[in-house]
Amino acid sequence: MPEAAPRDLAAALVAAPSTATVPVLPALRTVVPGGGLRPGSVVGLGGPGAASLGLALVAGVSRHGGEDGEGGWCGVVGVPGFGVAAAAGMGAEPERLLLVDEPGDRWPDVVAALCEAVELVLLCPPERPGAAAVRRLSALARRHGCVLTLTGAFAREWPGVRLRLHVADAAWDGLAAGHGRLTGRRVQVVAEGRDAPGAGRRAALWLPAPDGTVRPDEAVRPPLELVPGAVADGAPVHPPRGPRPVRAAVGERIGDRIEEGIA
Amino acid sequence: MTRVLVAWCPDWPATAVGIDAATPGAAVVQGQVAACTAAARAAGVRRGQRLRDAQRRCPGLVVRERDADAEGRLFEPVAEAVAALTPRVEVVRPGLCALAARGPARFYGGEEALRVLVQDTVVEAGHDCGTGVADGLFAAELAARAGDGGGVVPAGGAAAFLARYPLSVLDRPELADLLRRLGIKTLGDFAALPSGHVAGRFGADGALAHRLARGEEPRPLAPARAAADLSVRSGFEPPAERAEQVVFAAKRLAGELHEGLAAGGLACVRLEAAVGFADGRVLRRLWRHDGLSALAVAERVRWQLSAHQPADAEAVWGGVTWLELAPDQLVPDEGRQEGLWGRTSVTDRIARAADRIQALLGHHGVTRPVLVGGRGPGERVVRVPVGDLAPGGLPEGPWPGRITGPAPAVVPPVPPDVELADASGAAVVVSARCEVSAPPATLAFRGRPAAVTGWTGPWPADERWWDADRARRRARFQVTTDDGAAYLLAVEGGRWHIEAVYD
Repeated sequence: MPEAAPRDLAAALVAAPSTATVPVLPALRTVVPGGGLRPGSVVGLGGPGAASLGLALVAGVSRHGGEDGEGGWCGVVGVPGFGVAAAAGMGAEPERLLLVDEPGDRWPDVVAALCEAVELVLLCPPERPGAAAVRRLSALARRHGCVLTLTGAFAREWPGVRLRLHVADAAWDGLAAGHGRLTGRRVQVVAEGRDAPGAGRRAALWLPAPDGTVRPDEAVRPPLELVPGAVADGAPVHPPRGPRPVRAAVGERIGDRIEEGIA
Repeated sequence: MTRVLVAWCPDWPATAVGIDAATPGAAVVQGQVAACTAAARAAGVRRGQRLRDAQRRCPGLVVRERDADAEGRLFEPVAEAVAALTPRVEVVRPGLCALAARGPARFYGGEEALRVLVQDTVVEAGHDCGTGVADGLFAAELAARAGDGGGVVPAGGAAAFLARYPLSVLDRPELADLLRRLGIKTLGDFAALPSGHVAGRFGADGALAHRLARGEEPRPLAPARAAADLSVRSGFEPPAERAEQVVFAAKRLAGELHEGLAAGGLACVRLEAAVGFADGRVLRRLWRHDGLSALAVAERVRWQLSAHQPADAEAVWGGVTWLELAPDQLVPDEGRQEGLWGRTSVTDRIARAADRIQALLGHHGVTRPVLVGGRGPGERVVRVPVGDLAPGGLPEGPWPGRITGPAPAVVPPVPPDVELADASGAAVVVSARCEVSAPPATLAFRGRPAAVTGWTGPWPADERWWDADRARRRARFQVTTDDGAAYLLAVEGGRWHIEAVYD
């Protein structure tokens, strides 16, 4: 099949990034330039959803990192609310995480110590980073090939960030008025910065999917339905309807009815 | 029959937690009095009482949690002082040590003389003490507790001495209760029963108690040499001003320490390095000692020094005057076996980084998470300091009322307060029957309101209702707001918290 060959090649290129990068979760390979994070680079996270992106990056290294690709170590500095269970759901191994919840004003020393040992440090600077600390930590990260991932209020103050990730068009599934439960969130992950020039790169993902993992969001086809009556030649088979699955619509209706009942 | 001398320090658990005998105080375990001082006893406090009852009888009661480690540690000097008189001392339990009396009694000029000598020795070591000499350990312990500072029960007189004691001294409540209902109230009555029948009716343990009551020994003394103190110490005269001097001494000390451990076939899990300064300050820090070399120990001492000096740059503290390395948690040295495949081992690089962070922030500064069972997202993670063993024996579940679905990305350690209001602006209330007063409409966090677009709940969680101090009754909700955020809220005692954020 000659026409399948380029597609296979493209898939292979996406699926197997060069070994010189710090790996990310497979779902994020399309959005991160080069299919992986550049060793020694600084990545900035921001906006709503930054915590989930941080978890996903940690999970990628923890699952696919290491010298033999069997799992690498990550450090988390200054993020006392780090959702370990969510990271484990995305594929991280909790036993390969080092958490420093309260580094205080010694955070540059803590990050410097971690840079030499782990592949990725997720850092929430507790204060405006000083120029000396920025220079020292950036140089250490470059030398040891450790990716410095910044989150929190001072992430934008860090100079020399070549890749910024954020989340757009987030929509949670599964919750209605008074019933249901959160099952998953569809987002657009956007990569911007000098490493992703122009309008940036985008990917539609489940972050997280109902089973807690991170998955590409394949376009949802509307479910097949029986169409009453005869179908004229050339007429559309699907009635014009929103892209949402029917289940959610039914749920809302039931919810409305329950609410009316309560009222 | 061997003659046994027992030295007994009264109310040792209370003494060990630092309560003076003259102050009414008690050492408690799980809300029950484990030991109390004489002053507390005079006020009506008894062993085994519930703490609340004890406090009702003696409102000024000083209460401390029982500390078994301190009991053993503090008793060591007492046992040592006694061992200076006669070498073979058995520490029966902290607070009670025994020695074979026959030889030392001849050396020191009689049993009464030996008894008084031991008593004086322990009192000189700083603790109140009663001593008694009798046939066998059981009678000797009661003799030590008897009267004012104990006494000597003559050879062959144990049965007569014991006869008037109540059955409770046997420390077998079930047996004592049964015998009491059979009309047997003292050890003398019990000893008068034929031993064959006692063994047939009460089994091996009953037979053992019967032997005790008749003044016979259940077992001979098993004196062991007190474990040698393996800690090593070095002084500096004049005080060392430079870290290099201290680190150099640390290397030599570590070598000595390892020799001492190896001679005893032991290994230590942790190592305490203490550095004393000329002005009396002491820096103490526990280090994981997992087969460290002497050089690595010296390096840790260097980190310990360097981590503390920059913080107090002006205070020189007058230089280092002494350095002590003490092994902690001794275990038999079984060698080390590295994992073969598929096991996560902490590599040297990781261990070094963790050690450096622990030098900066303390032992609990860097942790590894362990996932355990639990209902809320915050209860599912235990953070274990690097180098410590993960907790074992945690309950497996099931956890009814567990939060299912994807786990939240942010679990704040202290849930912040939040306000949840309905469409009319009134706070949403959940009744005891888990009825929601009105559908929530706005969620205000730090004064910024957001409209609620979806909500679900309440999911009640009534935890540890059997324990008044730790009981928690909550109802959880999941809420989404119009800015795209999703929260796990909990209402407890009428107050709303953000337990986790699905960020």
